[in-house]
Amino acid sequence: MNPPIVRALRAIVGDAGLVVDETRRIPYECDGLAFERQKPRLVLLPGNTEEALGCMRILHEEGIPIVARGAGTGLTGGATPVEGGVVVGTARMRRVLEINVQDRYARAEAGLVNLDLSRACADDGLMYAPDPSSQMACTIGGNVANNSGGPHCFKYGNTSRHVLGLKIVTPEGELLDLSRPETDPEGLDLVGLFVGSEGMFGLATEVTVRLLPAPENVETVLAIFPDLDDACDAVSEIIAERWDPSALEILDRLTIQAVEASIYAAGYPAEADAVLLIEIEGSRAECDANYNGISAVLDRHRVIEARRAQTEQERKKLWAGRKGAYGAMGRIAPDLYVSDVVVPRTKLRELVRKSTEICSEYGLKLTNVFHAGDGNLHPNLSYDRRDSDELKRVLAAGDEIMEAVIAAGGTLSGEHGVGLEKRDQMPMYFSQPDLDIMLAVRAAWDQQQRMNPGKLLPIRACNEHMPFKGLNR
Amino acid sequence: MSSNSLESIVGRENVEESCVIPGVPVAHPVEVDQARELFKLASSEGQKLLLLGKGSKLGWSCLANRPDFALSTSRLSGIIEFEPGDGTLTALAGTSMEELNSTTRGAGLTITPDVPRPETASLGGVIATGASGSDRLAMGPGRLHVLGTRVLQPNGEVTRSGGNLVKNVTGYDLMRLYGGSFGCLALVTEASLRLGTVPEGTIVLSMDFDELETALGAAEDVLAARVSPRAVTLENQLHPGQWSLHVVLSGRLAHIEFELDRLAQLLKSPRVSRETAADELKCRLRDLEPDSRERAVLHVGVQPSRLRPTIAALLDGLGPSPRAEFLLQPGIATVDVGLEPGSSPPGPDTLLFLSRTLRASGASTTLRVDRPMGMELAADPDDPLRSSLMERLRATYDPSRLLCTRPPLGGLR
Ligand SMILES: Cc1cc2nc3c(=O)[nH]c(=O)nc-3n(C[C@H](O)[C@H](O)[C@H](O)COP(=O)(O)OP(=O)(O)OC[C@H]3O[C@@H](n4cnc5c(N)ncnc54)[C@H](O)[C@@H]3O)c2cc1C
Repeated sequence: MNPPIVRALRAIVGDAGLVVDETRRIPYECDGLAFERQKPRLVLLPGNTEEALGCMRILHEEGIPIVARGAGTGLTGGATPVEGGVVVGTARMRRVLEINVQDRYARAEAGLVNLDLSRACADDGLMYAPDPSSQMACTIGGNVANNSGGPHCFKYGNTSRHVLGLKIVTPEGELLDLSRPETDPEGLDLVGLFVGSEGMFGLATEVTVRLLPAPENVETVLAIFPDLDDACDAVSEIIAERWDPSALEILDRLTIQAVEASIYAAGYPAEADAVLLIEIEGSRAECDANYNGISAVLDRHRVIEARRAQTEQERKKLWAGRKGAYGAMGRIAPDLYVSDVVVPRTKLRELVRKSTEICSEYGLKLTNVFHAGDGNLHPNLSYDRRDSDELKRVLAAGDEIMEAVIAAGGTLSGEHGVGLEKRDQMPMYFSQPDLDIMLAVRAAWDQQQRMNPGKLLPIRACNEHMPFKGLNR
Repeated sequence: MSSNSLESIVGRENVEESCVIPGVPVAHPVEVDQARELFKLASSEGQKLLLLGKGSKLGWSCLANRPDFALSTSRLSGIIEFEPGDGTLTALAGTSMEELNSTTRGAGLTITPDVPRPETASLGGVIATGASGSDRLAMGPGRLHVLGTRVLQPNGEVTRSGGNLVKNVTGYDLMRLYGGSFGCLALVTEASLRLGTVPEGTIVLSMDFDELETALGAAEDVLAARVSPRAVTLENQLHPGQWSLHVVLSGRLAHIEFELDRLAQLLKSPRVSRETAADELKCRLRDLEPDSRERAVLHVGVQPSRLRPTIAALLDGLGPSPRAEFLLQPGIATVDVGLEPGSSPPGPDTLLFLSRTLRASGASTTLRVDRPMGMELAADPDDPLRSSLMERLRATYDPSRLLCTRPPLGGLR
């Protein structure tokens, strides 16, 4: 990078906000999609919105592409740097700026870790609902960019339903202040549109989110099944009967075994083919009504046992197993390809079966741990990225699963986003005019298309600079 | 615009003369291709087009230009797909909210938003106006229940965003852009919705108060209690010293009885309406919401902590003993002031002054009347960066300004 530019940037962010050193840039080469890598020219870590504005202005003047980065836990290559580009990270913007108990909202810097927000408002009896399984690491800004979900988004919805306002630094380095929480958006819903834009519209530096009263009672039930099909069917029926749990999560046999052999061991029975974690919230009467109704459904689907956690500690342990499942899968193979698709909730069993068949045809190890209540499947393929043949099979199986999902009326992503990983599969779901209008809307935000170029939208000849050729399929 | 050109596209029976705006004919396409032809006609003849649903909320929007003709989706109607097991529904934009309700109700499912007079409101119109309903406290704003849309763009392309699944982050959420865009970007032709559950029962608790302050205090106590009402409403029907608080509880029977017990300890001897009486009261409350055809309504939204100063500013601005009916929803911090039918609404100067005063206290104000508003009442300055981004988005969809509503930027519209 040109020394005068580096000097100008250093003058804004100081030494703490600049990563120039080659080895210190290595951790920024990829996100959770570990097989796509690109070294950034420079990493900038502004300490606040002012500094971010200064940096973005300089990068604009120099015409340098920018990739925003939170914690880098994304699983689709969204935060993978682009060739010749700079990473602007939010790791030094982690403050909670305001907890407004009366109006039930919080304002925080974009780099705040998701779980820290929930912790910050817990003493006031409030909570921030979206809870990605990565919540101990991922940032609110990353959640906004990806419209992230999590187990409890079954009841509360993805991030988009909780964002009230944003401060955005535009690609030109100007401040777009949409931070005033409004009952309804005045004019076009720019905040709603920004959520889920995968870092392609601007850099969010401050986020205002809705807080909810923490539920009065929370109960977790572990339902143990002799067969994964039964667990899937039980979920479909709980939905069809309109019971009202707050989370419905399935873990299959291989996942259970990996979890039980790890530090996240939760007491899931190793002999089960699947477990279903059910969470119920509300008044005592609500919890009891839901428990009784759901128990009857479970009985109809050959449940071996439905255990109601007796203590808060037991409840937390059951969840630690679920949230630690990805970490535990490191025992199966060094790398994990986490797929993320959604199917109609009436077709859970069919699609889970189909992915099992596809993976066994490719000779791959498949684990399933997923947000069953939303129909949000995560077929996880364990592999070793040093084995290029295995990687090819993983990608081919991923494609086939996707095709089956789309054919069944499903969609490409329920929470992880498109990024690099699914960019080239977008035409499976959207027509060219659908994609053209997305590209045009993107250009209205980022006229030079310097924010995260080459992500989400498939590249058509001459449409924009092509920093990535796509996945190595 | 001569009606003949419109008739040649949609047929004589589908053209109305001067229905909503004097001298402006309305074409009712019965299929999307006809709508596309109407767009083409407007484009080739340099005419301005007004997009309409059933026309019931026209007075909520703001016209940048006088339209040459209007295009209504009222006959682009019907349910495309209803999946009770998945809790989703997809319908054409002109389908009435009443038809959607009656389709889903039989399967134990509900539509959000629960709008007043659902027979007069179309799905597309509800989306375009960003309307919410009496279920907003429990279910949130209506726009968050739209899972996906199909729109006809002014360039004739039909494009889709989102989908029909309850969870989906594939591509940008363009449906969020169409929600509340008042038809200034594209014609919503179809939408998919997430459905809720029909409650097992409903109970309404009501109490009367002599003063607004005590009524508001009681409402706040209810909201702070560990209950989850569907609606908390304060109404005043043209009697300054008489406020009624209504708390609507709905859900599973055991749960609402439990909440009723809890509230009975908090409120002193409330009247309790159950079953049919509760349903009737709930419907009446819903119908107290603004109806632009009967009266001008000022709709004010604010953060709950600013509710009191906002009400004070409103009362001050409207002058002594206004002939006005108030409907307050403290839980979502909105105030609707229905200006008595027959009484003339305050003039533009008063409204602008009021809007600015309220804005200074953090509130946003909308005037809803029985005709589309011109530019003159929408003169409040907005953040220039925000406005120019909205303009760019508008130009992205409609570069030649075919559509004559404008983005409802801040202030009165
Ligand atoms: C073990 C594990 C479990 C997971 N579980 C879930 C889950 O349950 N649900 C779920 O939805 N996801 C899950 N994820 C995926 C991931 O954690 C989420 O996508 C998360 O929101 C990413 O946040 P991040 O801060 O790491 O963002 P990053 O990975 O750094 O970035 C993600 C995207 O956001 C953009 N971005 C980041 N910050 C900003 C900003 N301030 N302004 C604009 N753009 C920005 C980036 O450019 C990139 O496109 C999981 C990941 C892992 C590794």
